[in-house]
Amino acid sequence: MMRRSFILASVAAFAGWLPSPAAFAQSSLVVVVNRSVPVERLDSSQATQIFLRQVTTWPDGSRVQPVDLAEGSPLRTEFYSRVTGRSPGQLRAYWARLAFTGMGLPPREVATVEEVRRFVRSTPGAIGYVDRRENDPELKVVLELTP
Amino acid sequence: MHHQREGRRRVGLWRPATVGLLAAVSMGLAHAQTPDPAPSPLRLSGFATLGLTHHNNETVEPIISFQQEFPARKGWSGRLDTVAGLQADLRLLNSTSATVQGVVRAGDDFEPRLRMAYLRQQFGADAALRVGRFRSPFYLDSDVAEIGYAYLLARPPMPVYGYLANLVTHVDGADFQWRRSFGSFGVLVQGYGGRSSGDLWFFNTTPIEKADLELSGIYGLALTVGFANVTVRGSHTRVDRLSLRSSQIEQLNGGLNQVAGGLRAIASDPRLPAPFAAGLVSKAAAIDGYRNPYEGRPVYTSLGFDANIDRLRLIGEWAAFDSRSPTIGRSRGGQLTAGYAWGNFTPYVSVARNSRRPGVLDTSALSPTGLNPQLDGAIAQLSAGFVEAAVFADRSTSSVSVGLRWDVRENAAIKLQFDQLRTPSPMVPGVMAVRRLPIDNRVNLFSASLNFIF
Repeated sequence: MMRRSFILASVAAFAGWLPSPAAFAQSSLVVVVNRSVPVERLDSSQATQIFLRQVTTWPDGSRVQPVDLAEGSPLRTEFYSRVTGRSPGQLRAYWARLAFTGMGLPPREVATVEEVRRFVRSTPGAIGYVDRRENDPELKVVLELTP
Repeated sequence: MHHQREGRRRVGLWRPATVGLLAAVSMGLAHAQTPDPAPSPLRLSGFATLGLTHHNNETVEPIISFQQEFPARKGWSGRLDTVAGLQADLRLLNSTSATVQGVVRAGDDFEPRLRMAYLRQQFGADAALRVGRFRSPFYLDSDVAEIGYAYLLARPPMPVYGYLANLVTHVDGADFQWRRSFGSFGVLVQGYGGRSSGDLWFFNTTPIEKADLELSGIYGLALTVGFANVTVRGSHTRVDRLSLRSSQIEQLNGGLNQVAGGLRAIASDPRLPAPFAAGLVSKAAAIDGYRNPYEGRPVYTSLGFDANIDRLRLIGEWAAFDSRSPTIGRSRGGQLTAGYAWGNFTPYVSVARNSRRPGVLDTSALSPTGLNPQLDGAIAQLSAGFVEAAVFADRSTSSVSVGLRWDVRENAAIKLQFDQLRTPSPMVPGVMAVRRLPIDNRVNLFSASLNFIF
């Protein structure tokens, strides 16, 4: 019986029916912006619009510069799942649509959280997301996502 | 259906292998689609679908659009969905870029087609201008119709897209895009203009005939409002002139000229009473007006939405087409699709319909004269031709589709789909390749496809 359950659970996990282990260990995420950004708080809907590039300017007209972690990063998967409700596959389909119709490109990607911090710190209008424990006090937190 | 093209098809047999090779290569290139701004000024990417369909209908062959030369034949076929596209984006200056995209489709015997070739100039964060060739913006999913990975279903619903949308794959001209955010939503306004051209196949002629389709004086506006989870898009497009040129249409025009000339010759006989002669002249003028029966000044309108609400995906669209041609008439259509994501699996169901209202084609001028049996014979032939043209212009079709999308990995998805396509009666050909009527007006179509991007 136990063996059968294990096989079923394995098949379900492989097929994506069960949440990944990363989903069981959600982190405290924070969305951070460059100090120049004229915004103090964002909600999930606004963050979604920014990272899906439906909104491209801040209220003062300056350019929004979103930065993403590379695909496959657990933090990125968690961020998009919790903020936009989209899985990595749905997100890639969304960007494929824009890229192959000439209507838009995804945000810049970097490999590590340290690079996200560096980019947001040094780029006016920049916005990114990091684990709360790895936040940089020089960055302005505009959205907190607790587990 | 296409036995006369067998030789040409054999020459192209090696080409499906290229699509397969692309599939293999793409599995190792999941990250090649680099985001903006690209570290390198040149960005190469692509998409492909390896698609198989199966149906058992002897009388019809499903098509993506009437631009598709080789329909999906009875039994297994790879012609409906198999496609590959390559795209190059080159950043020329900080705000200037160039994009080229080429596509090959199994349904076109893998003849390369250019879908995009434009220069793009960005003006600040809000505005951009594209000049050159870009994908058709006529309907909600016109531009994404052949990019299977980017779309939930195996293909946009055939009743609506097979007829109204996929006939115009691109526009040669310019578009201007302006984006603005207004608190909780963002707005994209896209104004466009230009011309388009392509091939259109008449499957009911012997041999199957290609016509040259031209749309000139295209201008339109699309408004997209993006909320966090819902995007709403409306568009309206007008075309100054749609023309079709083919040898059969030339023959028809020639026949009409001869009949009108014959009537005028008879009317010039001084022995005829003046009112009778005037009647013949006016009949000849009416027959002149039947030339180029497919010409029109079409208007395309669409209102649609695409929503992601938690795991639920909803897509809906109302689409209208007014050919402003008495032979073709008007069409109203729509689609509603719902999907629900369970991890990497998204089962979905979709219904779609397109109904045609016939145009008012007054063929009373093609009534027999009673003066000359030869002339009346020609008139009867022309009249029958017009009746047949009007019948074959009825593209009313409905569909019910159920399917499953499986995102097998980050750049690949497998889709299984079952469609039941129906036309209102065996005398309505619908959005399918039909040689002759009546037909078995129900098609059960099964599709399996691997879609990927790289």
